[in-house]
Amino acid sequence: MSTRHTTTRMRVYPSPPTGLSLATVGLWAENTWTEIFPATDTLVFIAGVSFAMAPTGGQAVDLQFARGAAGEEEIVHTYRIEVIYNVNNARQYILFPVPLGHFPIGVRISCRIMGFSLYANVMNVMYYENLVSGHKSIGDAKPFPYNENSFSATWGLTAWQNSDWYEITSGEDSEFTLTDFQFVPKDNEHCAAEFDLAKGSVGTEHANILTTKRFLFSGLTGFNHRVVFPGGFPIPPGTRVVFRIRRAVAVLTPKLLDISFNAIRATVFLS
Amino acid sequence: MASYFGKRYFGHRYFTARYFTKIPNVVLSDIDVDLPAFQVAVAGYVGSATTATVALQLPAFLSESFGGAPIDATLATSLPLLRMALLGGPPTEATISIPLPALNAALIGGVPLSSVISASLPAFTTFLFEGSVEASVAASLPAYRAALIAYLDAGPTATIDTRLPRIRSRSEASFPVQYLTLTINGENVGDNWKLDAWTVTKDGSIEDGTFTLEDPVESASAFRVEKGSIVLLEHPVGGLIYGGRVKKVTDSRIGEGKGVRSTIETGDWMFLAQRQFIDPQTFLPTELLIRINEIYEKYLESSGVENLVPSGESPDIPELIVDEPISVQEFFDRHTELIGWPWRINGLLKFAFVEPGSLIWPGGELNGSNAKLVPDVKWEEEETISYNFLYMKLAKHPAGEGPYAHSETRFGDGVRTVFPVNVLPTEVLGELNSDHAVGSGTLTVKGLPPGAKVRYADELYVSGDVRKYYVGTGGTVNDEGIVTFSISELLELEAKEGAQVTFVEGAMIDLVIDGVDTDFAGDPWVWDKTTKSFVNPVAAPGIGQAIKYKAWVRSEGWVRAWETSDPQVQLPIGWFDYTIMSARKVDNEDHWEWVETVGYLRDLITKDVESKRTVMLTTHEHGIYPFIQADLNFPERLIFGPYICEKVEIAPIGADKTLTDKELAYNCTFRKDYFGKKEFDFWRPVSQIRWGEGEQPLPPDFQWSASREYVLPGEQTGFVLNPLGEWEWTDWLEVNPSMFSAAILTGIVIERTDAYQPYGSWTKKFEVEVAISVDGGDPETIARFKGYSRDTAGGAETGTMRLMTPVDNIPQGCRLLMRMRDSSGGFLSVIEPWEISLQVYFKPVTGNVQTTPYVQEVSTPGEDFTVVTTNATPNTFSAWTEIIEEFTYDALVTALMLGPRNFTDWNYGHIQLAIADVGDTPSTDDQIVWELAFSAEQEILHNHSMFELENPLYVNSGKSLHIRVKSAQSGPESFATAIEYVRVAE
Repeated sequence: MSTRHTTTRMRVYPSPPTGLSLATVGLWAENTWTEIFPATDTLVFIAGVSFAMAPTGGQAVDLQFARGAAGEEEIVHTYRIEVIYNVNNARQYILFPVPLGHFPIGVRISCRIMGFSLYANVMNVMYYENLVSGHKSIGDAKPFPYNENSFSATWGLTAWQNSDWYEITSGEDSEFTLTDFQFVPKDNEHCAAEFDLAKGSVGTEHANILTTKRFLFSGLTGFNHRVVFPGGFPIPPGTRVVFRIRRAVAVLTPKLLDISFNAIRATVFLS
Repeated sequence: MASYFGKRYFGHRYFTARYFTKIPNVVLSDIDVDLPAFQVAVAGYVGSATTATVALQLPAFLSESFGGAPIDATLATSLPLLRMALLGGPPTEATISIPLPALNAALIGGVPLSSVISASLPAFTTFLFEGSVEASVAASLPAYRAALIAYLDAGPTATIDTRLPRIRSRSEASFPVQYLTLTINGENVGDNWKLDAWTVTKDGSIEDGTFTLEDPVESASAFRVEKGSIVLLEHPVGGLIYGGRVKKVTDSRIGEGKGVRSTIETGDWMFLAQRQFIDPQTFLPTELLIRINEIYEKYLESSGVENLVPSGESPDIPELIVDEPISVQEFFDRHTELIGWPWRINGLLKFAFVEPGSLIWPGGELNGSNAKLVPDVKWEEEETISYNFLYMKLAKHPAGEGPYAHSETRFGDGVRTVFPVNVLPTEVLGELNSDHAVGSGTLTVKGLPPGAKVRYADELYVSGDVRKYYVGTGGTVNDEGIVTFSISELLELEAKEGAQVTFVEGAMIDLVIDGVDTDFAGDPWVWDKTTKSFVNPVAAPGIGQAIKYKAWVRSEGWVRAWETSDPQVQLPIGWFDYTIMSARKVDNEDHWEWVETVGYLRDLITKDVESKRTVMLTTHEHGIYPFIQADLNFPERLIFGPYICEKVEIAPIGADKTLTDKELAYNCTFRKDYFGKKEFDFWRPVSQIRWGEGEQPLPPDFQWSASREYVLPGEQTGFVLNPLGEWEWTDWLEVNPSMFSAAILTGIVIERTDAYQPYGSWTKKFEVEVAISVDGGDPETIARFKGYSRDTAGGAETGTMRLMTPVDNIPQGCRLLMRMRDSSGGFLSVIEPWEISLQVYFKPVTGNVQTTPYVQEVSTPGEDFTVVTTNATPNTFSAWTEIIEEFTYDALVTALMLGPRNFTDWNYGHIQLAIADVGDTPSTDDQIVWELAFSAEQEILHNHSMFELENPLYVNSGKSLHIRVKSAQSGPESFATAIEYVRVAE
């Protein structure tokens, strides 16, 4: 049996109020990398981040971690965050659904943010050193979608009416594991909502629901909307994956929801 | 315990003993309960003037009665649990003085154990005492106590005869004096016995024996042996040979009008460690004896076992993860395998876990002979032909028949100048084709692939010589597989034809650029041995330019695909896919084979592990199982079987090890029976997990599940609960009257519906309990949640509350319930309903999700959160504030709730959690166990109410938990905090 606990200390770098400065250079534009650790002394697992952002939020960003010397950075993880709306540069923390490894000893680790246009951000990193036991991953994290705007879904008009099915992927070459999804509301309703994850060809999705999650939905000025699965949800290669949503409140006109998914590009079945 | 060496027999003995008597046939009892203590415990408990309701959850009842906290359970009873609790508890030497016939009957088999004890104490009492005290038992514990005392005071009418054997003295016997003395419950049995058979353990000690005692004359006073009696077998010179307890007694009549033959089966005291199980938990790195003594105190001390474990220094041992329940015996065995110290509970009920050579056994020190040499014992040897399988993982691949050619084409991108190779071009073998005397400056090698290049500075070894040589002037292997090259230094030893030449990393690389075979050693390309890359330091190949390299490897299986551009960073895992399994035939000499493992493994390892790697063989005597620690070039982390170890000591091979030393070889032995029956756990690195595109296994601790979660209720408004008042529980609300399937609770979603949501300024705290009711019994809480709501109607994390260790305690057919309470009242007098839904898995669940059977608890239940006050100086930590005064059991902290102060931005916050001894305040940095950068919400946004610990934090029993914060704002300001946590094990 595996263990989902640890005695290893979760750390913060740098210590607040100091933070790493992460600029963005344009919508979905790749900026230069900001160094986190010049050379690790131990195996590092990134547990999450906390950052202050200049924009008002309400959109997706991809947070990327890389390893390698300056100029030879190799992207290891990309984790998507649907940034909350905020007024006064509140910081947002995200503890990743699974600490992300794949950083051998001695490697240089750097990061960058994509998605915003020309904003400055300050970030701290939560991480583990030598996370021997506990929930962790060395598979590469990569979201759906990647490096582009999130999926846009439309709520049903009546209470608990299912939306259409929206395709997350038509099928990947290799197995991946969904860990969580995040969303940004596009209207100002506040209510309970549900999400179905399904697979299968068009027309067969309803008979192939993989899991169902309830969450609370808060509108434009809401909160960090993130729903985490109890464990990663493995998706075999070649599997078409779709989702749909519904909520407790009827609307008069179609309302949208931007939504994205984080995944580990790795398999649990071979372990 | 397993038998290892077949059987040893004593010769049959005949006797003419007479005048034995026997007692009337009495039902044997195996109840080891110290009833007076039970009575005292109950009396003491009742003395605390409880008014607890009458129902009892028996395990809890028993636990609490014998010294635990006051009973507050109101649960159903279960007779099987009672029986297990009673019989599974520590044995007592006290004889049973209270018959309690009904209890006896019920527990031992008179009444089906599946029978239901009703949920009330009167019913329990009625059942227990067959109604004899029924009339006087009221519906309360005081009444029960009174009834019980009255019953006991009345003087039980019968006691169970201890029936110690009444044996004639030896002088009355008419047969020769025997060597060994058998004593049962302190009385010498005399000569009227024989030892039919015994088995011995892997360390040569007796673990159980079957004795026959005969009383040939029918007599009213004939002896019987009772289960549980203490058995000692002693030798006049060697001292105690065996000690244990009687497990089974079989009486049979010898013949009409004759006496009785008693066959008694006995077992040693090791069973005390076999029957105790250690639940899954994590043991922090410590010294061996500290951990061992901790286990002793917890599991063995109460059984009357004397502790001989010293308290001095002992080897460091790494963190240990117990993934599934493991017996104390196996726990100790694992440590023996790890450290090499043997352990034993000997025949005198003495426990020792000591350095080899100092183990108390059974009458003195274990010196390698007295544990096994028993006079007058017939040796019976059982032929066994088997193999020892030695599993090793090395940092190198096994020898292959290669070299094999491997090539790969890369393409330039206009930027990259460094191209790592995707194979490890290491250890390409060739052979000398002529003799080379000492001082030779050239070598001619055959057997390499035609066309292969031997280049300047390539490294090589010549068998028989420990020196590493470097190629001076290289060459290309001709069509016959021969190449001649110079070496930079003269040979120091003579090398005969056929001697093996081993080229190490970096040899045998060819490079073709756009179809043109380049001189790899020439401009501009160079070979970087360190990174195992070919490098163009002048210019990056253009986009799409084909770059084909060719390498030779010894084994096809060693061709590995690397994914990343930097092979250096992959070294830790790139070499971990090779398992060497060897089989050694076992001869039958002296009943087991001393496999000369050291030398064997030495050859194996030194052949396949380059010298700079380190290998340590740890070996000890007697019962110590050799294990292998190999530096796998990975940061101090290895997995041993199901356990994860870190900071493994690595010692260099060679300098301080004389591996051919006879004694060392003797010590490093595998006994065949041990290996024949049990797979030897081998060390393997954590990072055996590969990565790359596509098929990448994730670590075994990675949490995943392919099972569907469900919402209760789904596709509709959640269950509505109306708070009754400040921290007053609502009535139980039925979620499901009878669960059609067993389920696992994964979390709740709670929505505040009062008029102040979603952005109301009025803070509410709440608690939710989810419970089950089995067979109509009272609700049993399975999970508690505590949250903070200022505006939780939205997606705030307090609305969606995950269980970081889902609760696996919802049986099929149970009634599922929940209730809640909140801080309504006071300033916020508005009491509005909440809507709550549950998330569950229905079992079975596919995947790898750690669950718990225990109740998730909350801090300060039924009260407000703990208040933390910030420092007056910005960016300065507050004082430590205690959240949990004392964990009374090992626990996992699963979530931290934080209710930020109102109306102020609070950027650049910093939270730290620390663990300290009870009564202490954290004072050192290493007590900090968790920290987080965050900000309290700004004026109206509240998204940081719940911090879920994706890896819950393990806190040992007896520790306290503290929090401190700092912010960029000037203090003092206060905010609320709370945690959720769950027990690790009973």
